[in-house]
Amino acid sequence: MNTSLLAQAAVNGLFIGGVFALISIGLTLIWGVMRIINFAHGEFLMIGMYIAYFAVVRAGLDPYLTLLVTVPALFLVGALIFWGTIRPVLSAPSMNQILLTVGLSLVLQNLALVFFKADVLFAQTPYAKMNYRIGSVVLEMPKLIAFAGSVLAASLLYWLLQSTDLGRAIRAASQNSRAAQLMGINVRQTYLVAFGIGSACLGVAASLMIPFYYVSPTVGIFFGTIAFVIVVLGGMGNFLGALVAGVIIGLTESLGAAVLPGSLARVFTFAVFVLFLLFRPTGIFGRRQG
Amino acid sequence: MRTNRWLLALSVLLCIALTSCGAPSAGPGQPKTIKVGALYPLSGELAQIGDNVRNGLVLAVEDINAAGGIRSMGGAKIELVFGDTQGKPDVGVSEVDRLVQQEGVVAIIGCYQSAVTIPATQEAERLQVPFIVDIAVANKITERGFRWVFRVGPKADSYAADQVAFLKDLPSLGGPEIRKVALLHEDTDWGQSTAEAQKRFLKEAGIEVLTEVTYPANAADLTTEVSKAAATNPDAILTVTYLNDAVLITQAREKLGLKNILFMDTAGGTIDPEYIQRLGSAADGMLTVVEFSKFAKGSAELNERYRARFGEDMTGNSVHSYQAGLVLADALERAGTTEKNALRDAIARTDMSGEKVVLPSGRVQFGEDGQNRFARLYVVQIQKGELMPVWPPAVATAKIQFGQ
Amino acid sequence: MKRAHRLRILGLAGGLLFLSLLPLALQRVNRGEYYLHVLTLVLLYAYLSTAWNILGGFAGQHSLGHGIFLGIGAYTSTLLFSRFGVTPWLGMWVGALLAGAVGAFIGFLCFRYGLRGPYFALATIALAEAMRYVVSNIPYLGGARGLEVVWKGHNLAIFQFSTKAWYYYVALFFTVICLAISAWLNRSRLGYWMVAVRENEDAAAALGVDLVRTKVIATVVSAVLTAIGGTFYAQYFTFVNPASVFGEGPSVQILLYSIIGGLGTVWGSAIGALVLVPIAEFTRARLGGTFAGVHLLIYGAILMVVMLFMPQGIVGVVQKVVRRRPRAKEDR
Repeated sequence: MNTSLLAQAAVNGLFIGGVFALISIGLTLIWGVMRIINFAHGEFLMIGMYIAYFAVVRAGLDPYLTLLVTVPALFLVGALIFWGTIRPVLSAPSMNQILLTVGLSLVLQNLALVFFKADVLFAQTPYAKMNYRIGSVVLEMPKLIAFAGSVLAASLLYWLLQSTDLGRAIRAASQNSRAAQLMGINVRQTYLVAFGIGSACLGVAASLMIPFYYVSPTVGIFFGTIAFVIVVLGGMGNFLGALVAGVIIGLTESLGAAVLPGSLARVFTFAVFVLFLLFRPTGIFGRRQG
Repeated sequence: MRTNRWLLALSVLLCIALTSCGAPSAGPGQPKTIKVGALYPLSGELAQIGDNVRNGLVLAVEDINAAGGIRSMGGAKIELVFGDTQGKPDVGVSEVDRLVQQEGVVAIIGCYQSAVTIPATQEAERLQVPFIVDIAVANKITERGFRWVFRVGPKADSYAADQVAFLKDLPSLGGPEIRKVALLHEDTDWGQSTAEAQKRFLKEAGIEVLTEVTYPANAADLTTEVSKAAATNPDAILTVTYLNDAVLITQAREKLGLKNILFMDTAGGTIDPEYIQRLGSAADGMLTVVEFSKFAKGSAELNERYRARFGEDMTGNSVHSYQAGLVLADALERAGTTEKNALRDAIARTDMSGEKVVLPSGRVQFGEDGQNRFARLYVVQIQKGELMPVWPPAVATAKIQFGQ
Repeated sequence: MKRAHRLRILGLAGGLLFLSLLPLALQRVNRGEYYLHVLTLVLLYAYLSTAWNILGGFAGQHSLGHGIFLGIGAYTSTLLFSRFGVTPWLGMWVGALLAGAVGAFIGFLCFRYGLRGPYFALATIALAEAMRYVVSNIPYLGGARGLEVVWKGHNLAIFQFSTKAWYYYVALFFTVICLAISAWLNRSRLGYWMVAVRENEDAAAALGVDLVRTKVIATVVSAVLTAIGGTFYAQYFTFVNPASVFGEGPSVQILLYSIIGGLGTVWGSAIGALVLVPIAEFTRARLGGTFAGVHLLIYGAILMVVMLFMPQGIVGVVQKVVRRRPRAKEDR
């Protein structure tokens, strides 16, 4: 075990952690606002990545310009799916909601399989070759951009939630939907917008990932699972928590792989997850439960 | 409790439905079409490879039928009945049952993944139906003393044996002597089976294994794993991969500037057409053992037809399913009947060579255990975006290049 | 009341007789073995789902990690059989014991610290996934390659049969037992406690129900039964690997039937399996080869439709229809 290996692992973990964080922020927003655990979250990312892929390959767009397509598209997809499937079960037992989204993820995954076949697709972009060396550590441009973009997008979203009327409405609806309703906020509509924004986060993530990651119908499974871990670790519904937890999990996966054999690093990830659920369900920043 | 009666009514209905949708069985004598089961992971994470293996078999059957079908049975045509394992062992078993009992197939060809092939062949053995494994690597598949199971492709041992033989041959090809290697592989049954064999053969050859790095196949980044393997300073890194991890490993190799270490894959992601397409020149220099090369003698024509039909090059997987189709047709031809015992015996007595064999070994003959005794692999190196055969010398059409 | 009781007994006996004679009828049918296979799958999943329902339906604790218990049952008997030659009939009980202990541990840990609803679901799913990775990395347990139940020929003593009918009867036997336990629980004091815990924990606690104890007992009963199903799974499919029993996939599959059939009812899980398993088999058979993935798409769509339009499951819909008819009242 040498230091340059660990330094490399730390850099990789940090970068991929930023992307993890962005993906999780969408999930934690949706959970925080309407208490829905969306098991199809990873599949939304998959949709975003297909859109980004085709925008790059067919329309010849620069991968980072595809943001202009993926973000509105994912917002629409999210809003439509919310309106069609989530809205009717908002007051149903949580298990029914979970299973509805499990069904949704099966449908989306296999629709992708029918339309695009199982091919693992890579978009060729000039960014893939941009690497810089600092000492013995390699910095990959696409991942650096993804990290920076994720932090930027998260900050933007934070500002949106804190400082705009829309953000205030979303926060009001999440804290007390009945009171918000009484204050004249259209809660259902706010939910719809919040779900759309949560999905749009995945649009950003998809565009940022397309220069260095592949697309396939099952690509969402891994990211969906990781997002759950991060959301719990950060505190369910906690925005900043998800950001920090994303980086922590990124580092855990990467440093764990450097120190532990095989996929045991992932066992460690899940162990952290369960321990937090048990002993600190409010997450890293949450107050300890009485 | 009304539900009881409801349950009863439903089960009656179900039984009626079940019995009514059974396909009519072919009469005795000489059937117009011979149903053959084709069992692959057509959905789920491995569906791409599943598609690829299936295509080889489809082409074989089209060729056989176009050439007049099975002559000894009045030109009977082969009809493939597909089964989807979804990559799950239990579904594989279910599909064997369905193909045999519902569809009445005379034999089954499949099914790529060892974890599915092991129980699926066991079910075939129980049902006494010939099962031709085109490609699935676990040694165990043909080491259980089964009567009804045959494997055309190599077992894990063959891959490892040829890899090690190649490494030993390197100095004679102008390469460095390989004294110590690192193993880097994905951690499902494919990686674990192959690595186990690699360790055994490397030990026999006196090559030291410095470390064994494993990773989950759906990992988002493998830079750390590659650095970890490279940090032990090996002469070569042997990998076992699927597609996306092969790409991640190759990218990491370029990023980290590891061109002085030989990277050798085990007919995994590196032989997928998408691999070279994605990586371009970054893939150059990668070595892999492989079951097929379009540059080898007599392979170009087959590859062209495959390409025309499916739009991509043939791979080591599809060439084996193609061969499995020919093996079955050959056995049917000699048996002259679809009666299962006669067919089984005909398959067991297979001895094919010449133009009916598209595999590198040039011959298919099953041993007592049902394993094809003539498994032979090429080593190819990716040079300017093509898989060029560099070993064994007899088939090599390119010189191996080092340190680029 | 008396008449209804007699009718119920009669219905049950008739149903059981029908199911027992079914293999004899199917043997005369062309390709009957395959239908028997589908029915065995129906029974297996009816059994597993009914076992899940004791914790998930009666006690209201939605475990998404029952794959752990399925896997423990499957692995224990298979390991004992392949390494030590212990008959799976015995290994089954060792596995059940082990799963019970693990269930008690998980249950105590989760419920002692007050994990409820979706939090419990997430904790169990994570444990199941972690278990999958752990077992994949232990060579003694076969690693990711899994373990095989080697076929030694038809032998009742080692739980290996040459015809499906045997497996069918074994599955039928266990399913009947499991349904009986479920029906008994439904009317027992313990069962009432569970329902009380499900409906309102605070009220139940006020009435003197020991919340943690009740939930842990439900977990243990459910885990033990599931593990026994795991042994059957291993014997029937002759192979287990981490991905096929541990992990999220199988864990979710087990509970689908309960949810779709009717959560928290005695018969719901069985009915769910009876409807869904054949649909899964036949859609895969009809469409799997031509349109890969279409059958899973249909499966997901059914799940969504049920959740959207009949959240009480099939039993809920039937009850609603029955309730409209006044005569049904005397049945209750």
